[in-house]
Amino acid sequence: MVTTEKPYKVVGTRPIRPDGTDKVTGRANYGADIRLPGMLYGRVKRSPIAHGTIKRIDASKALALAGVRAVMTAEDLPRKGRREFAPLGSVKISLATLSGNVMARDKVRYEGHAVAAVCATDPHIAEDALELIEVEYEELPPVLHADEAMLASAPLIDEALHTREMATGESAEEPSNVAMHFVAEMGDVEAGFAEADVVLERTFKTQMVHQGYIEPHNATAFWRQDGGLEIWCSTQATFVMRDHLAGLLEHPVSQIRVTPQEIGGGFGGKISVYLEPLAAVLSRKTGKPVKMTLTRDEVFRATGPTSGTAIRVKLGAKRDGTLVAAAGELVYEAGAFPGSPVAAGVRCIFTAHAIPNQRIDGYDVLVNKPKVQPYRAPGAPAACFATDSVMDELAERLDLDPIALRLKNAAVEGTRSADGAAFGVIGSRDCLEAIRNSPHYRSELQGPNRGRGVAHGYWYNAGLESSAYASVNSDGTVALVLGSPDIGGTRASIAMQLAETLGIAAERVIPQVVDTDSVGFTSVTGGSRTAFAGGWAAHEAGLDLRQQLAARAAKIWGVEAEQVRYRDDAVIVGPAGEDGGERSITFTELAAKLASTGGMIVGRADSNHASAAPTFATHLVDVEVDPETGKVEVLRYTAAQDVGTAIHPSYVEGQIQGGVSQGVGWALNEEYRFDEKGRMENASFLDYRMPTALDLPMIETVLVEVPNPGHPYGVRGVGEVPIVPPLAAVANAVHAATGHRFTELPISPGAVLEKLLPGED
Amino acid sequence: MARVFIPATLRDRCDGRSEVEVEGATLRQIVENLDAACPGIAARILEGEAVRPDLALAVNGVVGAEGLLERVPDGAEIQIMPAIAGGGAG
Repeated sequence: MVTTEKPYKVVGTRPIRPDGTDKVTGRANYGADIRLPGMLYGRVKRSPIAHGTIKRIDASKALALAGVRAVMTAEDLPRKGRREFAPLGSVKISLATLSGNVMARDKVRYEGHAVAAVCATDPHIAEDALELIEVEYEELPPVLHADEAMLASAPLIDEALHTREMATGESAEEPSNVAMHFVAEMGDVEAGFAEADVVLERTFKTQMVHQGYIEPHNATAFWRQDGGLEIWCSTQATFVMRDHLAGLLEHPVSQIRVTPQEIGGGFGGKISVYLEPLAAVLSRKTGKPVKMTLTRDEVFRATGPTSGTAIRVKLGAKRDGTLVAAAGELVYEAGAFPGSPVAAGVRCIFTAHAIPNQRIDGYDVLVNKPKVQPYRAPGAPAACFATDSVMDELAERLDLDPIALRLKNAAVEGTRSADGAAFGVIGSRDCLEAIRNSPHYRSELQGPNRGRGVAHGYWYNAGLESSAYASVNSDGTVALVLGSPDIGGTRASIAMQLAETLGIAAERVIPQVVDTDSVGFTSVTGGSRTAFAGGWAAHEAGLDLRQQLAARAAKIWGVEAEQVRYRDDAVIVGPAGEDGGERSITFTELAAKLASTGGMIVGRADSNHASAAPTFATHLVDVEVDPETGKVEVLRYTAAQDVGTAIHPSYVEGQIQGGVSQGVGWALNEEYRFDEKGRMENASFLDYRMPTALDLPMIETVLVEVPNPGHPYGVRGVGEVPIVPPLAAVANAVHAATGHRFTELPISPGAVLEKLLPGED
Repeated sequence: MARVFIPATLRDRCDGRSEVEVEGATLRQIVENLDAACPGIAARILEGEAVRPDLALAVNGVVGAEGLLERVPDGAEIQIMPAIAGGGAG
């Protein structure tokens, strides 16, 4: 449901997606479809233990196997320093971390950590060769939980790691598994709690969960004899991939070309390198293209889920519900290398609410589990689970409607977060009011064992750099060249913004995602930035075209360019001709004349605007809990979200429904399970329980449009915030249904029965 | 004049102040002038000629792309925050 009318012709409509036909007919090319002459097949030898030193690697038997062409280890990769960095948007990533995670050098840090890679003429031979690579380990005790890892007595995962204070850059003297400590503080938190009438303090835990994309990681590399390195892979970030490979392999960036294939889901998990440097080194060794594809088991064990967390939240409020103080402590598992999303958790945990006094501490903690990677609004869902669970309890304690409590404290324009930043135009209250006015909220939930929950979430969204090239074809279409891999319908949403700027139909813009040599630098498809920044680049390329087309019309008419203008209906008009009538020519008519009047025209833009706007979401869910099995069934779900301007409402709705689905899975079923030695016990979709279509009702959406004043079409990112509220909303609904607060996720049938039937087997 | 919000763990450099007002038309000038007001703070913010890799300077809450060259309008607010990234939606 869209709540507003828009002054646009293309923006806000629902054209068929340009890549739709190829995808539904199975013709779209994914990385696994790559076939090259003489291609070899690579596989990765992985650690069977979670923590240990590598004493010896002997690949001689594998190399003697017929069909095996090469084996590589970390010795084939340049050794990188801890303070060597590669760019990732506005962030810099340690090359030592990237390199160490790609392949273990002296020590394995998690089960599944790569220790060697092999390539052969046949994938089965490569698989057989893995068994012939002998690796000798000295096993060390694993550290599996952040609370244990923070103890001074805990085994060290990285003996050279010292806790670094984010703000000061100072490092502790003693080594530790705590990589970083973040602090954000505003006002006087102690005085705030002192004036509170009610103070609630609770601790929450969540487990590692995976993005669960359908397509496993894959990469094909060909290191040509002239030094050129070609990479075909499934990635959210072709230019980031290129730059990271340049750093990891110490190879000139000009010699690397990354060609993105279609991508079967990423959600943040396909930004980092995994197979690409291994395939590249094996190709360099053999002179042949090398293709590598992960199995689902490897995706679970050896790519990046998001953090397990332990979060303590303390809220203080007046009797009327006014929040006066908040304190939070966030402990996030980074996995085996530094880099959890705890900083984003710190930024998001209280930001949906206006609270004058705050103190937030965040800890990035190493454990012997896979290195975590971004996952849709990284760091925010667990933080919202904690805060909005306490908000729900606070509403209950104060006998307030849960939405009324949130409305009373909702962040508005001018509200500051703990880092001092003040909001501009935002739709926080609008989302809460949309849910309060929804048919769902106004309906009565009847029946036993049923409950209703709400939650309210925030995500900040990113901007960053995007490029777009637009070429006018003689038939009046426009070829639009983009550098953003399309993971959520962005070909369509970016093309529509160019069509709007040119005043032509969306179907007349033909978007194409190209390699790193064929378009200007474009940052990651992530951070909910692509429709915002890509759309802005396309708009600027469109403005460039309008100017050039007007100039061409002026040339044809023999008048000054300043006398000609490009109208929003794609008609170029000039001064009156000899007959006294206004000169005019349509976009299509002019396109047909370009070749004979000076040549074809290309519009270009490399844009980088720092005006991305945050977004909010309010979710409402009804559940029913089976008291005999403990199963929680989602009966009805409504999500209201400030989407800025919905460029293609169907894809915005799809993003919201997708985020909710993943959030419900996180709340009810999904978790990485490890044995006491740190070996994952459920590395398959059979045992790692993600929701399917049978588990969810149709998710109702309310698109609240509060345009971003910092974008020509009012775009805010929409893809990440919908995963923020579901964890808390579902937990609050289960509380309403059972009377029990669930402070740990997932709220699986077993966990529910433990509460409902304490002491029974 | 810009208003710089000082993170809690850097306030010892600024006599405990949570906000400091300094002149400057770019972030580089802001950091230089902030260091005059809060001696030693620039060494905590910068690494070589750039902002520390794990840190970001925001102008009115937004981290731009021009690093220390970022323009600072009169009356702007500057935040010192961790450099953080997003995930993905599809």
